[in-house]
Amino acid sequence: MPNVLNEYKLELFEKKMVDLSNSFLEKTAPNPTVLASGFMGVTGLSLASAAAHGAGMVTIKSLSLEPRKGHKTPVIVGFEAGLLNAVGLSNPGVVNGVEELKVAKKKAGVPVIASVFADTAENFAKAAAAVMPAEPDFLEIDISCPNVDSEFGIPFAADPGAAADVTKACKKVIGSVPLIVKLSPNVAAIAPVAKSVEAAGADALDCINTLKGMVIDPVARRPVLTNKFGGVSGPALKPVAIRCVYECYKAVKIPIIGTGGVTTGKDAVEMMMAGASAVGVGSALYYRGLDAFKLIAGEMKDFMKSEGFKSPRDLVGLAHEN
Amino acid sequence: MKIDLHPDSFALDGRASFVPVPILRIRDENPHTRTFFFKHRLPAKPGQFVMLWQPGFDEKPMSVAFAYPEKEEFGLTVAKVGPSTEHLFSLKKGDRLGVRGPYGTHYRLPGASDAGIKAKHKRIIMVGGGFGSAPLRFLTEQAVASGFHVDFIQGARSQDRLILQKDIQELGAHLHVATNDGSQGHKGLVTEVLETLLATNKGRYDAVYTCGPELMMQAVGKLSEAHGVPCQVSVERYMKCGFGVCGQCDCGGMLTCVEGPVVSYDSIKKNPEFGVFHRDGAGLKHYFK
Repeated sequence: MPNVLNEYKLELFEKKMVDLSNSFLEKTAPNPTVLASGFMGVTGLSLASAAAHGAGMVTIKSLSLEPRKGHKTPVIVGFEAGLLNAVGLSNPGVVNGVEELKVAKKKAGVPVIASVFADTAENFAKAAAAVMPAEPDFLEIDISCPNVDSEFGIPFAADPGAAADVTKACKKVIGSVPLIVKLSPNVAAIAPVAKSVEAAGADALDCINTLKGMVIDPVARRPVLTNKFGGVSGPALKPVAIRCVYECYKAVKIPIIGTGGVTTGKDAVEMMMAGASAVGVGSALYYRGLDAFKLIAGEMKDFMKSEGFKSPRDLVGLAHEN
Repeated sequence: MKIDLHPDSFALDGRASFVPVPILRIRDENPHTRTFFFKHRLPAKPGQFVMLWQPGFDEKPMSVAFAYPEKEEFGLTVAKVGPSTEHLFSLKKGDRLGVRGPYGTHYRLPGASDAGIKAKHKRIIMVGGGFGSAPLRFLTEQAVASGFHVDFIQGARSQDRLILQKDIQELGAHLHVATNDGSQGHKGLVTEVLETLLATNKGRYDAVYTCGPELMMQAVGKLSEAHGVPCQVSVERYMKCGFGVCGQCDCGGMLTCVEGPVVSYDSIKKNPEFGVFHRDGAGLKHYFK
């Protein structure tokens, strides 16, 4: 006769065994969520607040060599299935940003990702070198912002060769700090860009930046954003991001941060099954408030318990087996 | 023309997207200030703010001064201080703007379930500096309706910068005025008037509510604390999204747009940036002086 009680005890024991702690390129995070760049992270204390609210890793809003005010408001608007933004890469510049990163390193208690952008590969390298004194755990390069074309031209992420040039230039100046390259969905094919930056020395990918879009106000008879165009984030972006992560996972060996529309734990699991080793969270802050990280992590844990997964790493790439 | 698109869709309910709002009427408050009344059922509470979009110009956060959802009306009291408000002053009745919100935390009257302040004496004080009187007028309206005795201390540089005096008096609040140049009321600071009120009516106030320049609010908070009276302040920081995603309004780890703007002095006094510096649209620090 099967011992029902023992089976029940075993099941309880196994549920307790679910551990969300997640290693990404040899750094350990309390869970797979990552505060995506451009959300909350203008200041070091804000990054620390995201961590205190449950973010597994945090990314600072991208820094440039000089301070930037960004686009004129409105810079963000909602629509039925997400948000559209064109903040325009406002930031206090690397000199001030490095101080914010130092605060984050001291107070966040989770891995801190620095993020930089520039107009040329050479300036990317300068900005990358400038944030190194803060000793970030990772450096992300934003080669994929869709909202600054008029100023910077077509993003580097649109061309495998240009993306590789920026990757190489940054890799040279950041020593042993792992380099994450943020890719764009605004390309005909993402896998060739992923392969190209991997060959150029990228240690990881962040897939994806926002999808270029537009919202028109029918009463005002004009695009809502002053920049006219913006980047789509939130639930509308999720299937695009899942597809991009899936394609990149097939194309490269380096780990991937899956970013785009993750709002629930189920979304995060989906992203990891597509091939992500960590999961970016941004617009979920709008849908679920500051508790988004804790809610997503909690729901992941519930899913893993009921489906018998013990660690987030067991989820990575699972969808490719079927 | 009223256009309702997908009224059930939350993203179009004004939470993150704009609702078209026509100007119903415009009222002059003083040579620099006007109140714009709009037609819209805005469910705002005192201390909350909206994002006002002037299509083709820009979008700015504005504190709500009047809200009558049942009448489908709300009002913003606006001073002409820059290009955006100058543009607004050029608009006329019937012109349509966009509004999204309301956003942020609000003032809580003593005895409210989540206020953490007891309504023991049913007496409260408002301290409004400059345009800070606008949201406090709204709060006064709510307080008087709930049976509170309200002492309203209003301060400005000079008499021609005082606002909403008639509204405040008509509500039945006791108005006390301080001007820097003595052109009306006490010549000096609002905190001097507050000190007198707190000292002469010791132990008879439930709470102090303040809105205005940050250093003034800090002084009001300190003074209230010294007299053992709880105080709520309204923190102003540079805002872009208004709903807790962009991070531009961070104040020492507090997302001002969702965790503020209204907070207790007791909590904000520990904030390393309150009363010290604020940041601009790029995130650069500017120290208060």
